[in-house]
Amino acid sequence: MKKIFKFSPILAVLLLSACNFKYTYEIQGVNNMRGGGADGDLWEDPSGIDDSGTYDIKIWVDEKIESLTRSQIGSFEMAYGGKYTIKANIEPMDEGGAASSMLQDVQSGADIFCFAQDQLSRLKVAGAVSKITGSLKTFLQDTNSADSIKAGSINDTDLYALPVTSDNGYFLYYDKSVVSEDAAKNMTTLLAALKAKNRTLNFEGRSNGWYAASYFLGTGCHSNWTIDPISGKFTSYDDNYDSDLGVIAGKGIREIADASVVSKSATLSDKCGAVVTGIWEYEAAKEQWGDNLVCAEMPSFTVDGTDYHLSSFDGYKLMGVKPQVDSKKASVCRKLAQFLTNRASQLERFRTVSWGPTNVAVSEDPDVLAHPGLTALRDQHKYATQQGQCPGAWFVALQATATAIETGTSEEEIRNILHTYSAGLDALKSED
Amino acid sequence: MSNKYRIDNVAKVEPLFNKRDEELAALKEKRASSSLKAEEYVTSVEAVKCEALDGVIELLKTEKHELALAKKDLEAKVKEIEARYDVADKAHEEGSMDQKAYEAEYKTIRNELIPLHKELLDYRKDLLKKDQGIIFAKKDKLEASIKKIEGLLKANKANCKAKEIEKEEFLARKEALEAELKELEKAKAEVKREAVANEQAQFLLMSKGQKFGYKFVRFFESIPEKVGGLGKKIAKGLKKLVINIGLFFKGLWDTFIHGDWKTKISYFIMGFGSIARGQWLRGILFLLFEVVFILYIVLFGGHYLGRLYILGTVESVTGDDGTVVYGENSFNILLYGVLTIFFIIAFAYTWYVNVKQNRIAEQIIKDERKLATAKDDLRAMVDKNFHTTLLALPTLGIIIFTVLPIFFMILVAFTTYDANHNPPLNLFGWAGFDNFAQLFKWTNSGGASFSMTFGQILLWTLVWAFFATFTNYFLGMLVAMLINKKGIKLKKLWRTILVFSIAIPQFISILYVSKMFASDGIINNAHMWIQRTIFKAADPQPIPFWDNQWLARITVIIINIWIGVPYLMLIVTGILMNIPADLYESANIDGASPWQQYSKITLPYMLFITGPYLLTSFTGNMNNFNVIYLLTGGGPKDINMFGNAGKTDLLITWLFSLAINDSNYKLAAVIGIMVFIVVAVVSLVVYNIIPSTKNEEEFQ
Repeated sequence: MKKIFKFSPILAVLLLSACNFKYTYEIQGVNNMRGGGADGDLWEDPSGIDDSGTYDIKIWVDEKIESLTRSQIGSFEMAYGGKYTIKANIEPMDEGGAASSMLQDVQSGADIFCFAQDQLSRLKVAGAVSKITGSLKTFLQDTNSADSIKAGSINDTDLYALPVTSDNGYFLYYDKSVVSEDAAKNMTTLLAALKAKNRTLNFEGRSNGWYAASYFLGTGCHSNWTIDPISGKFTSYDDNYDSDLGVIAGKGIREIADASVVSKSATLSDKCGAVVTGIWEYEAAKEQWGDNLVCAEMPSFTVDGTDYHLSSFDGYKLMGVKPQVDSKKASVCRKLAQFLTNRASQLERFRTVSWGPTNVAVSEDPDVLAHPGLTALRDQHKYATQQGQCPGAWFVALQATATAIETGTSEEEIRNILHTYSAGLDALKSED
Repeated sequence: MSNKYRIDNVAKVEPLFNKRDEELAALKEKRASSSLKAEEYVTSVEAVKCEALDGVIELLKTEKHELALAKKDLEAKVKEIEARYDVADKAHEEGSMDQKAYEAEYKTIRNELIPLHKELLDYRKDLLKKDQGIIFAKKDKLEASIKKIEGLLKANKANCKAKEIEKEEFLARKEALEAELKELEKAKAEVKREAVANEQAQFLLMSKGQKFGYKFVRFFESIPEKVGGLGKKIAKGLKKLVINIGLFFKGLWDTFIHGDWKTKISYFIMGFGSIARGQWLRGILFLLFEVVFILYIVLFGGHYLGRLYILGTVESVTGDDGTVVYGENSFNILLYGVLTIFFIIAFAYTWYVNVKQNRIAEQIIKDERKLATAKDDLRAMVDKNFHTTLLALPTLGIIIFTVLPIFFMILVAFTTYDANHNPPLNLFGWAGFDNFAQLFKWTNSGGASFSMTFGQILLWTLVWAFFATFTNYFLGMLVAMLINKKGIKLKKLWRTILVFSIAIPQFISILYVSKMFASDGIINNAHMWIQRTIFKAADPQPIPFWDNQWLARITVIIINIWIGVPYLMLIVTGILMNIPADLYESANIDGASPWQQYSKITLPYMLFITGPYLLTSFTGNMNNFNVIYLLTGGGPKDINMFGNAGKTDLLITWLFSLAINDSNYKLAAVIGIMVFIVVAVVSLVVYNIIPSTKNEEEFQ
């Protein structure tokens, strides 16, 4: 008798928590039906496989969209008329963390996860993403922008992930009370304007290969890496950074070596008047500068009298589906991933967290067109380059190269630095 | 030759040796022309040599005598001067000498005595040298005699063979000669002891520099003998091992042959013998273990063990519909294969114990004693053998969770496990010593070479460990002494403030310090403000603490001082309090300066006590991951270095980034093994050199 009294509070709490969980989950599912519905959003599976049932699926998404994803899964179940019951285990994990966790241990990793496109080849080699073929591939190609499909493909032919966002590039934010519109068009005038008001430009052009590439790509350099389709290894490269074009880019980098006006950071700080970063800083920028915030394409830089427009990387975030041993679960995972990246889901994500869509229809939504950050990205898109697949170490090599260039570096020294860079490229190819 | 015997007057000794050489040559001729018999020859040779050596001993004794006389004179002189101390004391007491004159007189006397004391010391050293010469001469005499006896023995044998003497005579002669030889060997050992004592006495008289030099030279001289000795030891050990293995198997075979039927069956069904003899608890345990082992091998381990040699050949197959059929998993094969090997070793040992049990039981029964029953066993488990019971589980835990993973990681260094061979999708295989060969391949096809990067990082690791340890050590000592000084108020407050930095977890404190030194951090902001306002600089640049490799390295060492000094201060404070105060008092009276007091009392004492601590601190700093990784992440990164290494990377941080960022587990394992080797070598060498592990009397 006494023991029951002792245990009853515990039992009660357990029961209540279980009910509560299920209750909230269902309510959310019902309330967010606006995401569901057919009309081109759902891919029709021609295989006719009977994959109905209950599935335990582990999902890794950024914490900003964790609860949104949960509701979208509820909508998925509604959309398929209850054919599938998904026991979703959603863990908040940023894209970088998701990729490295999958690489460390594929088998215990998530079934569906989001990652940035530069990790695609590594994930493919490790067997963390499954190939998408057939009608699903066609469906995705029809509904998403061509560049986003390219980002999810290896060697431009094999699709390995579903596009989620298109806004993983970078552009210029500035405070219009400090920098005028004209001044923001060229790096020299931009830096002068900032210096006059004792503010800084936060730009990782010399300390991060991803940003440093904007100079080289702007002068026309390229670094293309070929991947062996079967093994996924980097087998060869075509790189012309060690050339006159590269030297011009190096001279441009000298300008941003002035540490008194350029701060090595990709986030806002109290002292900054301009920052080069991605859409993820939009909210913070709005908070800091309010109505003075302007989003614009990257400026150009001048070397020996000629202007070169700074390029950037067009970045995409992708969703990968892990290869499954159970073919039914594999089928359901793909359907779920397709749903989570369809028009309605992308629109919902834009409305909630302002993530730029890859879906063609959503990109033409008036709200999307009006968003300043996304507009800047679109403007910059003319000058941007597809990131493509390259070894992760390539970014570090580029970072070291850019860091070696100072304000006083001579042309001769720049050439030597570039020679060292290109001599190290062989080592970045995959060894066997 | 004369130097060996420490003779000063070379001219006197030359004729001795010349005579000896002449006579030896004459004897050799005679022997060659067979006009001299073997026994006569060896006896004559010995006589000639001993004659010369006797002459040497005589000379040495004479020189020693002269030295002793001179020393005596000097000692008398010193005594005379020292008497003046008493005179001065008396005068001072009586009042006929004032304080100033008294102190001046003391100083004068001391100054006169110093060179005389040094001369005395020299005399003592020379006398010891003469003794050493005499000892060498004695030793050589003994050697000559030994050689003579050996020659006579040989001749004796030859004579017996040639039937020139009867067998009994031969044996009698042999016995007599061998007895003589034994005596000579004893005498030789005695002389050797004298030599060692003489050496020690000389050593104690040496100055510090000479002692160090002597030790240094001896260390290198002893290396070949040590290596030779080691080689001999290894050979002996191996021989012993082989013999023991042979005996072991013989023992097993014997037990089988000579044991009764119960024992014989126990070889195949473990525990049968024990059960048949009534020790059912033991028997059932053995049997259970055998059954479990067989089941394990058949159902699980055997498969993995069988694939261990190739680490899997069946590749995974991915389908176009998102499915995958996983092939063999190299990682699991390696892991479970190793586990199975450990299990087999455990089983073999248990089987051997089982066999031994049978043999012991048979012996007990033969001796008509009682066998231990199950009850006795249980009681022993909690009483006599409680330590076994208690340690069983922890030992098992350590083997499975510590030894096994270490063994596994060592094996990974011999595989091809990296980003491109990542299970479960891909297989990896054995690479033999290829990964280690990369360490010695000096260049790579353009770009960074693994071996050069390894060398650079190893060098920096050693330099960093050295500076990190010793800067902390001496500065910590300084701070402790400062706080400890009389006249410093609020001692506890200063100590508490310093200890604060230990209280904050390193992870947090180091991260924000790293931000402080960044280009837009507090320090640079202040620097640039100062430049702008005070120096009116037009374009102040921040100091690139983390971007310039030398600044980064120096900054890291300096920040490490801030982290480490509080620990040292606490340790040193405790030790300082233990140095006997009368040492300082007497030093003060003798007029030692503060620096002399520090370098001759405090420092040696501290070094002696904290010798082992310094060693562990050094090896710990070699693996000091936190400080480096949180401060600089190993940067600034260098494009010329392999595997995204940076200029402040230690071996351990480089290993980390290779494993986590590049998934290059095989190279990470190789580096791990090299780190172990470096740390082990450093530890062993230093531990054997430092005086803390040797005699304390010498220290005193």
